[in-house]
Amino acid sequence: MALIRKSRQLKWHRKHLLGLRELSAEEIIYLLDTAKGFEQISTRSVKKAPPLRGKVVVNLFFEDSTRTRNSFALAANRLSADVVEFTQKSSSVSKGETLLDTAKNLEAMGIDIVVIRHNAGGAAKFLSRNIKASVVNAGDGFCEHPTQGLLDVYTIRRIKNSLDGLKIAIVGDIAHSRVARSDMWAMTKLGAEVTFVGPPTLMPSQVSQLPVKVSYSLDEVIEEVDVVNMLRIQFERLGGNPFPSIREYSHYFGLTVERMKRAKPDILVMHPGPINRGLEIESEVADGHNSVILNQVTNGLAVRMAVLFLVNQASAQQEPK
Amino acid sequence: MLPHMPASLADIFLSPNYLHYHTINAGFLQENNPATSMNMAFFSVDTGDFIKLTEKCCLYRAQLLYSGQYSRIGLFERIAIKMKVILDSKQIEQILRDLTGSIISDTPADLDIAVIGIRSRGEILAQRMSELLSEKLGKNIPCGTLDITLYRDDLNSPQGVTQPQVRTTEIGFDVDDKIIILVDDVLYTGRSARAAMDALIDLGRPRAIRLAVLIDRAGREFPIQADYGGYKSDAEPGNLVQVNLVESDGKDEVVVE
Repeated sequence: MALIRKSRQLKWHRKHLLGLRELSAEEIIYLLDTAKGFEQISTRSVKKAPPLRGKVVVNLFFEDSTRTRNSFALAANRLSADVVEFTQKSSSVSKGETLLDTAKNLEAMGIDIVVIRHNAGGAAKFLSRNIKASVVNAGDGFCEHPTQGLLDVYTIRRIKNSLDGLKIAIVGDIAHSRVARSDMWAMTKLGAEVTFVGPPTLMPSQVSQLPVKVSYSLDEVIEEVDVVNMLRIQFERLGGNPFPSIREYSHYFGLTVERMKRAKPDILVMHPGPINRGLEIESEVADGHNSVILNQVTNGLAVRMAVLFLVNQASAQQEPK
Repeated sequence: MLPHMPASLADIFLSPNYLHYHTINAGFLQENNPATSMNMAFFSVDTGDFIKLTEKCCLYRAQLLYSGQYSRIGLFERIAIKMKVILDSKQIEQILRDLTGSIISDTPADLDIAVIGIRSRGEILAQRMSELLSEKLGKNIPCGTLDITLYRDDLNSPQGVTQPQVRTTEIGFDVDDKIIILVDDVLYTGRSARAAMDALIDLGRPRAIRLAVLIDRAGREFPIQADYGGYKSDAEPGNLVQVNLVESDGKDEVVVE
């Protein structure tokens, strides 16, 4: 038993969570193990615990989001923090205020944690260098969406126990996907073999420098993978004509009932949401028994609680005595 | 002298295994209640075994320094301390029998009893007590485990040299209307018991919560007393009272400085 404890012997020292690229495998595992302890809060009669009592969390979202924003708000609420919602449309940003001024003003009100989503890559890092509060990245440009990456590996780990040696395909619009990047960092660090699958027009230009394999055909990989993560086609980000038609994309890269027949029987089907039913994934597959799409949402809450808890702990311990 | 033990600070810092040593040691600190004094063990990288220094009747006190987010620099202060065994495995077993006996004689037979242990030593004691109770009462007495990390009162204090790991609460039954026997290894300041009660009532509304502890130690900071106390200890504040159990430490015994 003493030896089992070895995996828990790490101290979390990060006041900010900016991305998964900079985390070690040990840190990711520590975070996932911590998240396990938060799961039961959501299933009991009093869905609240006190560790962030008296703390203020700001949801600073410069891009539309339902799932992530609500998930962070609920996670903060369940840890007894107060949550301030800040969206671009209803704020002074529409009057021309800069990101830094907005954040400094919020800070002057005495906040403890900022959860930020921004369409510019590096926004979270920029903020973390300029304010005293903890910063949690909820998506920056095409760079990272760390909590999504964490909840994805958490979901896989919960069912498959370990990612070591698993083959994972991430399918779709890789170029515009921060989820694909965060997933890639987390999954490869935990020992999985990741393949990016999609049309060449939707691959990042420097993809050969990433620790992944690349395939331009879903049919080529579907039989051998243990997990398939279907990305949403983000029409709001697509410029030009990356594929001839939606029907053609769906024909080559959609996860259909036909394709699922050739997959491993215990394959996990994931999707970060929101789903374009019938486009990247057929309804029957999205609702089928291999699908863990709703587990991802549930697990997201536990993971975000763990993240808020840990960054706050690190921040409390770094304060001058 | 134990093998693989760093002899001085320089040995630790110059060793290629320095980080290894350090994180292992830091981890051991987390396992213990900050209210009791700190306990640590060195880790042998060669054999992969923990060497519990308490077994050799000496103990080393550690102090960790953290400055800024990059610092993982530890400073180990070596102070040898003589440890004295106050309870052996027979005595521990007898105390658990006495405690369960008192619980049964105090509790009307028509009420449901459940045992809940506080992580991590309380969990093991709770398991043993539920087996004894089940045996004596001839019915299954459910047993659960409570992690109190989220309810601790020192989470936001910068003094914390220990960073508690959040672990799972595993209670597979409804606590409503049951007599809950809350089990911990040592009752000292009363802070853990306070946290455990808050954690418990977030799970439901027990008919009553009773506190059972193996060691009832002087030094209360909260108005909390044990309903079922085992061995009474008047160890000086700051001194270590350590409960070792077969499941976690390889041996049943209680030692004090």
